[in-house]
Amino acid sequence: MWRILNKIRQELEELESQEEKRTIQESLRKEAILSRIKVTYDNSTKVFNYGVKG
Amino acid sequence: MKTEIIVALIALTGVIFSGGFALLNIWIQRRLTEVKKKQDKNDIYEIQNNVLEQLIPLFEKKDLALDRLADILEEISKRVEFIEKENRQLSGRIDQKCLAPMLLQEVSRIQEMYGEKEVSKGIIDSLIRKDVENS
Repeated sequence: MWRILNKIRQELEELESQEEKRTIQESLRKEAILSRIKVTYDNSTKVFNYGVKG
Repeated sequence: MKTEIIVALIALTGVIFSGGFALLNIWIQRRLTEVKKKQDKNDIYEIQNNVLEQLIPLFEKKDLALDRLADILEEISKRVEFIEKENRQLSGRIDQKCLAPMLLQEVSRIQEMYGEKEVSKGIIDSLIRKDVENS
């Protein structure tokens, strides 16, 4: 009985830690992508312009 | 009496167990919901990142195209400037050519006017020169 409960708890923790790792990976990926994109705002046309840095 | 107590104890144990399991079930469900929420959030995050990653090459192409357009416009403006300069020169020449018949008419008029009186050619020349300078 306790073994089953423990197993369930372990599985849940494993799933949660996997998702937390994925969150970190995706946020790092987003930072990397955004660091390459250059966004400027044109006041006269009220439009955002997207380009690439460098 | 003893049997009743045993039955009551068994019933109580059953109630305690079922209550315990219900609480455990709620706890597991909550944890699962949290995990599911995180999973959904990460899925959305991943899709957003994939879309952004696909957009980067397009932005690069757009930047290159804009640079090329700027070069073309610069080239065009240079050519327009050159053509304007040529036009100015050409219109100057045309103006001069248009004045020529008028001058010739004027010369012949002066020649006719003074020719009869046999005025020396020097006076006519000086008049012509004056006319040209004025124009």
